[in-house]
Amino acid sequence: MERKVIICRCEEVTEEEIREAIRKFNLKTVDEVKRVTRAGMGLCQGRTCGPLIERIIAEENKKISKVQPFSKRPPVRPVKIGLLAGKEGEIN
Amino acid sequence: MNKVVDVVIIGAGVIGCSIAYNLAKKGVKVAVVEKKIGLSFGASGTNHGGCPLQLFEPPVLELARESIKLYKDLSDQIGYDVEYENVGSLVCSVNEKQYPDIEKHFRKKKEEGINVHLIEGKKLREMEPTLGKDVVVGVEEWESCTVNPFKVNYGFAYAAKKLGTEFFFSTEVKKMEIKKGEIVSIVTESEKIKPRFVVNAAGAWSCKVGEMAGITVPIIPRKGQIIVTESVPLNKRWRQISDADYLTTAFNLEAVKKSKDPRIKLGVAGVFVQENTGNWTIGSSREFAGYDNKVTITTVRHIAKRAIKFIPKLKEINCIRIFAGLRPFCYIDGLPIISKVENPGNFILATGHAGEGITLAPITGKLVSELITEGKTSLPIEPFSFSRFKNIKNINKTPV
Amino acid sequence: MNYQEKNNTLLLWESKGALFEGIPTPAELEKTPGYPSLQRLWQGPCAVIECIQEIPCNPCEEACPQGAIKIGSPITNLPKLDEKKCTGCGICISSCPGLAIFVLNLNYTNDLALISLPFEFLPLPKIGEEVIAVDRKGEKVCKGKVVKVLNKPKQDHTPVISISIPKKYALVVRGILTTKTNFAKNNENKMRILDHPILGKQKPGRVVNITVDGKKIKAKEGEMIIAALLAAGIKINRFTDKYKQPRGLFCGIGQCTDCVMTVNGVPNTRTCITPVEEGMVIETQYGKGKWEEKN
Repeated sequence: MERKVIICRCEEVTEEEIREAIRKFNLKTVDEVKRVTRAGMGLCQGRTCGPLIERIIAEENKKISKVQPFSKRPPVRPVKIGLLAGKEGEIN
Repeated sequence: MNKVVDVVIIGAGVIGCSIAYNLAKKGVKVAVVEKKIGLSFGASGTNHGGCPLQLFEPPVLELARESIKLYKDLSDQIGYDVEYENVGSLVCSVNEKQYPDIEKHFRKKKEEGINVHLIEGKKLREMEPTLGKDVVVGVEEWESCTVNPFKVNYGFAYAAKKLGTEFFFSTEVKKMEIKKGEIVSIVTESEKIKPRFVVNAAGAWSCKVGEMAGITVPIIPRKGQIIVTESVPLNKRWRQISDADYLTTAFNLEAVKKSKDPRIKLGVAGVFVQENTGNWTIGSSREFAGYDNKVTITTVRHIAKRAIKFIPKLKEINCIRIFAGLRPFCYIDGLPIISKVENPGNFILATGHAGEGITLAPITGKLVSELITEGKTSLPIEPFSFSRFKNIKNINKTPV
Repeated sequence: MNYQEKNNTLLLWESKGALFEGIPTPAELEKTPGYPSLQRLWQGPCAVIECIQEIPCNPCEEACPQGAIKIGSPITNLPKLDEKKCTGCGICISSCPGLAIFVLNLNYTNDLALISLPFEFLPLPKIGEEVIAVDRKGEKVCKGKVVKVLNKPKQDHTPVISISIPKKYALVVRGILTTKTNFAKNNENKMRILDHPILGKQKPGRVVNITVDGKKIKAKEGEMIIAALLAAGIKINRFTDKYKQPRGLFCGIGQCTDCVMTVNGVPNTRTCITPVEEGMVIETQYGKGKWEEKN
């Protein structure tokens, strides 16, 4: 089996899959790559693969001078839902 | 650059792309104009991907039913897997006092022809051990499905493109030139397109597009927040579960306004959809905050609190992302607007789907394409007509 | 190659040159302004500055109390050694960030030369210890004996070791390998750093017992799970879902989630930022992990 280059370590998305998706759908942002390939949807939410995907997009789309980075959303670290919910009667 | 096409669709969400595909199938030359750099940056990219049939009320129910049927073989039709899964749906309650309401809901859905079953709390938990001990009763049905909303958006768009549709991204409509009651050109920064018909599928921004055509489209953005969890094993029986309070927050706006409960005021009612990858998407909330799509901690805490009442094991599961989306809401009656307008005569509205856009995308595409090419639709769309706003005084006054 | 002087042969070395190998040839070094003449070297201890690249750097100029090292302006000039002024005191050795300065005493004894060199590895050798002397390529040349170990605060963590070697290797030997890796006591796995060059001496810490895949492991109280695992030689934390590939420590800062394991029944626990606790049960995670039903 040919050795695959894994870009998104959490969801195990290969470089080939990402390039294929970028070419097929003419993707220009990391968010779009995420929606099509699932790269960046894993546990680390694109913190590891984000810059790599930006570079791949810049390589594939030689016209873009600046690639829009991943849209950042809370939380900054995974937080248990129980913690978000808090204790009884805690939130107003 | 000047272009001449048959139809210009403003907005490349699931609605816009579905319409484009259905028109392109009939050989119509379509141009889709999208403000953002790509697809799914609006409501089409910030939802659960769920199509829960029993959470629809007539007259939208008829459309939803047909749409879900269309989803069944959509993947084959458009040549792209939209990850359709027939997961059914469960509406349940954690409140003894809601029992009569649930029974009423059960009877109503039965009358409307949906194959529903009423199940008691203990039996519910036997069938689905993840449900908490507070759950007292539930109603299940098995026509509902879930899809991958991104794949639906990209699938429709790609299929339309293969049939000749042109897409213009990062292209905002600046103005429309109207002559003799007809839109004669759509003007953007870089293009000038001459259409025969123009479709407004701009979602939460439909009102701004309507203004350019000289009409008031009573749509405002409604913010909904969703918590995404890490991947856990799939539920045994139900992967699409709703809180009975949803029937209030969604359909009884008067009760929401009168309520003293801060959770109801934020429109928070549990909607739990587990994707095929194991991640739970936990909602829901309804707030009106203009075009602000930032996450607010109070709402999120209410959502989380409500969630662990229904599915206690979520307490120990991590939330890895929280996002918010803007849904197009018709503040007059909450129904979608799928209709021609009188003036301009070639302007068609396909918006106002609020929290039902994913479910209704296939059928909206079909109906609007019929409206344009044949002048009549295979399902009645009178309830969604723009003319219902004719006699509304102060249409500009948003009641919320 | 060799050089004859005073009935003593000083061996030279071969190299492809500074440009091709990073190691200057004897001819290149002779031309370097910081390299003293052989005549001066035979007179007594003298600094040897093997600085061959023009970069903006001048701590050696500042360090010399005799003013024997001159760089001047521009600061990229190669340092020039004034042979007459140099006393061979060796203060300049610790000042060079490139570790390019040595002090040679060709007349240490009749048979031995003394070379003082900068040495930044731990543990530092002890006086009298036998070490392996290596050349500029790091290859073994001969055995040497440690004569002096200087590690004063003024040297700013660049200790200077003086070793005695057979005279003929004086121009070739420029480094040492200590023969024993001498970790401190109470480090049964020999992986933990107990005397960190920047953080200082680490407290020995209480022993904490944890179980990893059924195997009992001793950990240090307060350390992260991954540290205990690595000290025990366990490098694989989990196997991925799709391609079943092994994963271990990657970012180490709680970001990449490559190190996650199932800890006390809770999957997806980041072992690089979770401290050990007595009785912790840790399991290699396969795919998404097994989730216990807790109601």
